[in-house]
Amino acid sequence: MNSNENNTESKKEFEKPRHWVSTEELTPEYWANEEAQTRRGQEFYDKPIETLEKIEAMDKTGVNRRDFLTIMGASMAMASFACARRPVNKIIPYVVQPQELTPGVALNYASTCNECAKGCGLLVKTREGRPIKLEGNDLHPANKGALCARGQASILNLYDPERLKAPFKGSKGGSKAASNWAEVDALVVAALKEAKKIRVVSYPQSGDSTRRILKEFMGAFQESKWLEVDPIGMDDVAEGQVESYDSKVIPHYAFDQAEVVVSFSADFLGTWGNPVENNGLWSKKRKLEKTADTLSKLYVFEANMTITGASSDERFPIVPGSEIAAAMAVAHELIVTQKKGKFAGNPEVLALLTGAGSGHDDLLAKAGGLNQEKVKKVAEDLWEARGKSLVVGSGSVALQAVINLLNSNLENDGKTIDGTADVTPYTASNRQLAQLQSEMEAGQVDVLIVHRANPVYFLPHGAAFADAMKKVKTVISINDRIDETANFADVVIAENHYLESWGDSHPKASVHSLRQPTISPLFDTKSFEDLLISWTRSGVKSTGLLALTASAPKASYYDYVKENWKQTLWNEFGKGQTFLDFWESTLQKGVLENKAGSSKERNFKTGSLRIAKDAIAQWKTLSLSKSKKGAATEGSGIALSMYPSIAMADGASANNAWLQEMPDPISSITWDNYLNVGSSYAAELGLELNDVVTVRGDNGSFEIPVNIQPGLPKGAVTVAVGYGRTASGKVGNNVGANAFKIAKFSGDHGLQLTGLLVSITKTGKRYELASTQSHFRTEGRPILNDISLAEYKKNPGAASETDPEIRLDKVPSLWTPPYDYAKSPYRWMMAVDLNSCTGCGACVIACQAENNIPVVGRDRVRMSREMHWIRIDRYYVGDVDAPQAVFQPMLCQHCENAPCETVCPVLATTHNEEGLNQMTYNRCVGTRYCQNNCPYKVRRFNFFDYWKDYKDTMNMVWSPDVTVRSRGIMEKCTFCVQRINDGKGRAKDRKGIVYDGEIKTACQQTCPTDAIVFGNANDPLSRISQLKAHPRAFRSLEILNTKPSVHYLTKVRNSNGGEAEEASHGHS
Amino acid sequence: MATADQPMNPLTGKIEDALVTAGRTYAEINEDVSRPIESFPTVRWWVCFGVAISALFMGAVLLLQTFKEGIGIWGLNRPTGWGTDITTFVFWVGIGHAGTLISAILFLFRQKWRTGINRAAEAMTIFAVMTAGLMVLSHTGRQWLALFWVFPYPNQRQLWTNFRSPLEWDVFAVSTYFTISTIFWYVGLIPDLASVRDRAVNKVRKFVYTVLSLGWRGSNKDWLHYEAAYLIFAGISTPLVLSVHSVVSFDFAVSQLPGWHTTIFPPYFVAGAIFSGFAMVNTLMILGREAFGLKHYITMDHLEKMNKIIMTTGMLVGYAYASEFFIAWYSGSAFERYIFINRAFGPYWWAYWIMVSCNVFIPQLFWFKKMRRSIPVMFVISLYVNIGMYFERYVIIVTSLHRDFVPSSWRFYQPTWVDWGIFVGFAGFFFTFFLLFLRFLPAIAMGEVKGVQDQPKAIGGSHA
Repeated sequence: MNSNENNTESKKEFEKPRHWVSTEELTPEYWANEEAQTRRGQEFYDKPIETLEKIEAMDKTGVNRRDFLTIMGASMAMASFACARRPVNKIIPYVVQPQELTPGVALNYASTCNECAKGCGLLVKTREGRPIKLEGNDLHPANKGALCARGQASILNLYDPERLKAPFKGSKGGSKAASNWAEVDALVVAALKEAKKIRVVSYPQSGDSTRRILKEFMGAFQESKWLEVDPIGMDDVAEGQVESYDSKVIPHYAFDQAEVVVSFSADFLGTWGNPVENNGLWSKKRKLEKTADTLSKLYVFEANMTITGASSDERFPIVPGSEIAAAMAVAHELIVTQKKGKFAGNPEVLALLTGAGSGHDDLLAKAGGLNQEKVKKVAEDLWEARGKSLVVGSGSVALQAVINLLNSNLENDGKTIDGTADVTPYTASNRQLAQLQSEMEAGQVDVLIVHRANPVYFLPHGAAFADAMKKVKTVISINDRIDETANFADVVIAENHYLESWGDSHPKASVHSLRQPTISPLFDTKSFEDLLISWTRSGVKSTGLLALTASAPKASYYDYVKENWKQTLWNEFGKGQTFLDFWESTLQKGVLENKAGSSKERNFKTGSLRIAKDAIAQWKTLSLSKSKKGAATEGSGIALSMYPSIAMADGASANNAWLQEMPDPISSITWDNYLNVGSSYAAELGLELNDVVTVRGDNGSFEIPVNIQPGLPKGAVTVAVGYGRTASGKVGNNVGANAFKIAKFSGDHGLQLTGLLVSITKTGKRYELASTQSHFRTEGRPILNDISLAEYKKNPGAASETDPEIRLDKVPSLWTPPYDYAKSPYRWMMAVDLNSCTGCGACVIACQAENNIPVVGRDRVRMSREMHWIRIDRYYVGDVDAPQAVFQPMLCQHCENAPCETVCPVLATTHNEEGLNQMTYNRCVGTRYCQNNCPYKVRRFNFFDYWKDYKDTMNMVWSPDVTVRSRGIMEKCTFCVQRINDGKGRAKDRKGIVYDGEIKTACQQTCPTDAIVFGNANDPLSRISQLKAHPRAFRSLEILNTKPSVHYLTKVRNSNGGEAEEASHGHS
Repeated sequence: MATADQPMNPLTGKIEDALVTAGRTYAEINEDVSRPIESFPTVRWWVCFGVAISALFMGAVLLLQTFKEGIGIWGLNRPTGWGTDITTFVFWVGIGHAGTLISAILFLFRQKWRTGINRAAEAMTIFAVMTAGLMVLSHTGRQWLALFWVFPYPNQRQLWTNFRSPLEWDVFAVSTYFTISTIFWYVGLIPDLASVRDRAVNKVRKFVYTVLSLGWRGSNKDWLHYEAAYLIFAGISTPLVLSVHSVVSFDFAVSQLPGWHTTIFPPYFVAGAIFSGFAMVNTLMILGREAFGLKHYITMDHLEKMNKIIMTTGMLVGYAYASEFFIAWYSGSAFERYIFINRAFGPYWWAYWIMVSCNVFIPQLFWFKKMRRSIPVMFVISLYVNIGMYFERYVIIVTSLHRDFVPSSWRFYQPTWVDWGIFVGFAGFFFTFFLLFLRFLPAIAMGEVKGVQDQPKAIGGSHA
């Protein structure tokens, strides 16, 4: 019976207890006492232990005797364990699991890359709602599944902990404090409501919806202007097209159709145009998979040593700025001397090509002493392949005029060059910044919106531009960080990463693609377009669809994009489909392609050559160096060319550690920019590697270390832009020097980065550049093979058979293989075609993203401790002043007789029956003997706990499929074993075996030239089986009998005079 | 020196100089040898000990830092996965050779002159192997696991070690060597420990040495068993002298790295180990006999014999250097040729020429008897040999690794100050133990010395 009931009852009617001890128990007064009630029915009057406990608990500790004993026992037990247990982190399962999501299974979403405006198609691999890897979208016509290093690395920007986490406000150039959206929106809306004259400066926008919404937004103001700026853009090409053909576009260059390609400093495999697309197209003519295949021919005239020049068949180093002279020399040879082509009889063209100061010899001299015979050969080859050749160039509008002349004369326009149908709309123009600056200085601009453009950084007179910004009433910066330009804004709007936003892209006439968010914003950020909608909603006037969207209370930019596509593209692409079907299928595919257009030949305006003639006439200022011989510490009158590096480009992603640590494909240097000086020229100037020099131009100077770069002509130096950022974040700040500082800028010519005259002074200081490859030669070792096309035609297997010792097939082995690989269903092998590999480095970053490879930092790269599982070894070929190079991607060779496996004392590295050399991280104790014994030096040791440097949100980039390695253990390429297991799992599900090409390693997947082939060598029909039996196939250091699973295919160069080449075969 | 002291060599029949000079009595021998144990240490000992233990402490701090941060604070890189760490290991293992050689092999060959130095040499062996063992453990990436994972212990995961790995052989070779050397040393110590026990007046000392001397009474039966046991252990130890450094050399010879992959390595390493071990014994003995007044037991004749061995093994090592070059040329292997040219004329030329000078050229002075018997000369030479042998290992390890097959990976290796600090710390570890040994144990085998002393002036002493 409950005591409470007892209590109430007792008040009503007293019931005497059946047993009693004293008489008072028989009175209701006694039972009215609460204590008495609780004891009623108990066996004992007092529970002794409980009473004792109550007394003991009275002291302030609140711990009673029993608890004390318990705790003491537990603490003794715990103290007797030597180490603490790992903290237990409970995983919370989905309460309601999203329908499409299985934990542990990756989901891929089609999207569009926005690292640059080229708009490559993406597949975003997500795990449990978190993007972990970017891959190219196979369906995208430009990148066809491949992606460049920057695209691969852009996922790290998403997780950059230094992104703005909230909007900021403050004073121009002064301090800024975190704010909130309500406050910032109010400020912006007030400014916009009053504004009459508004200017928007943005990086190039390739999205139709973005363009439309921005136009609609600006349309409501009294006067507005939108400037797209790109310091490393293709202004010269677009304006050259205007000069010659009256259309401001970037034509489509069909490198896959061209049998002869001539480039004048256009690094189309590295940074010019869409390098991913260019690599893919160009390499199609470089495959030589069948003996009957032919090679295209690539001539490169260039000032810098680029990967395009390295992969060329003939390379001519020329002084920066003299591309125009070289191109004119070729045009002169072709049209005037050889009288070839439709302009051979055109008096205007002849006059402009032969006029005063531009005689043929003069042109050759101006181009740095080009060999007339060689130019003749170039012209002949071009004419031979007319209609199937291609001339490209980069540098100035004048150069473009000559290039356009060449292409039109060679009948390439309309064939290998598409300037009418499949073109890239190009609206950027850096020139306009000059006008904007004067408007701002005059105080005419009410509101300046800067969207991810950084003119204060990239303009040589950035400080003046910043001063001008101070005269604008309100400057609104929309950015993911307070960069150099945002520092001079009143309000900095925290913008989403592109993986958090909706959007679209229209990079070429034929291509439309969608961008969808794959994660909700990590921080309190918004997308640019959503902001425009919300401002409109708050009362800022606008027009068109923007106004309409804003009027719907819950509509966002997503609805806007959808509506825009409904209005513009549904009719064209979605015939017979409902819009929803059209939208969903497009979203799934990510891209739409319209192949209908056919290109037409355009009419070349011969008058446009006049600018070329003028440029040549002014050329005399650019002469070879007048360095003082003997003293040799100073050089002046040196021609400087600035180039975007493959990793850093314009420097926008300077805070991306993957890119900072990506070795430059040519110099192998990480974490800094440097002044490239040719080997002979450096000797002349008395410069050595790591000497710090002052480079002085017209506008200023900067200090920078010297890199001795074979392949640069005398009188020329080059330097990468994109470095020397001061407001990019902890990683990117003060890395290298800002070369833009001494570029030339004018309202007439825009930003001029090449052909600048500088002087160089040795400072006497030294600075150690962090290079990953310090030795350039192969020492005649059988590491890689390259031969000329002539040799190849004589005997396709020539290179692989050159050293009879190398062929060890007939040598009996004392070694019993641990497995009979033939019995296993799979034998994983890889082939790397050195002929296709252009050294672009995309695989390095793809591998880094896929395999959780940490970044180690500059000092540790200096100590040669970088962790990349795949590296690109670069070996120069030919003369030290005019070399080319062979690139050899080097990764774990998965040797059958693996030297690493026998020496490990704890069996941490072993072989499996599928031919994989496996690394058991848990078992490794870190003796590093395996690394010592690896002839390819592909094993990487964790000297520290590098993962600890991945702080905050950076942690989210780790792939859950791959172990994050702790310190003290060895790691190396696994052939992406997680992908192999994934593929095998799928095959098991369908009760079959993995089909050829189903499993792609990360490096293979992203390779734009398809140089890497991975597959099952036990399947006789697989591509790998065919390639490894190819006459060009060889294995690196085969003489060691390690029997690598990686086969390389000999590099074949279509060089002139194959016989002569044969005699001097070998590597310098 | 009395002519009556000159004993006859049983093998050659020649009259030789006395092994113990100045005609010490048995009592005097006991007195001389036990003095350091029974008296408060001298200032000289304290200074030496202070320096040694300071170095040990510094090494301990740096090593703890290494365990905490990772071995990245050393100068290692890729391709140079081993540097001063393994150099130090091989150096100390090499040093450890002389002790057992002197004790066991010279004992079996009845070289009585060994008696004056064998005790200290054996102690040196044990401490050197301890130093080497600790170094090789510390060099691993995950020391806390390497400590036991390298041993093939039965476990529920059925994980075994790799018996094909030379490093695994190393584990067995070094641990066996350490065990046998220690037992051999201890067995030899028992009669002398009993002597100390019997002389002890201090209760603590009495107790400790009573326990340590295992109830030795000096009876005929005791001596009979003792002699038999000592002979057996000498027999067991003898092959180990040759095997340990052969196995250590397999760490290199079994790899396929040019400069390491050489069949000459086992004899070459053993010769080098004896060379460096004898040099270290000389260094320690010269200091010890000065510091503890043991000139009568470690005589100039002892030292001269040691010097002869140093010169001989030095030339053996020199022969190996030359042979390596010849084979590199004769093999026709481009890799081998390059590595040896690079060794002598590459970026580490200085290390190579330090090695050759110290190991081959400088010991040639011992052709002259005056030099062999000059304390300052032999002391300086013994130091040079130690330096030279350190650089030998440095040259073999670093020059072979830093430029191997693929030139794109060639790098320069530079030890950091932590590397050198740890090297000094390990030297401190060794000397701390050695100084404690000199203080607490009889540094000279009293019993054996008495056995080779022909004409004691008086019967004295207790149990020997």
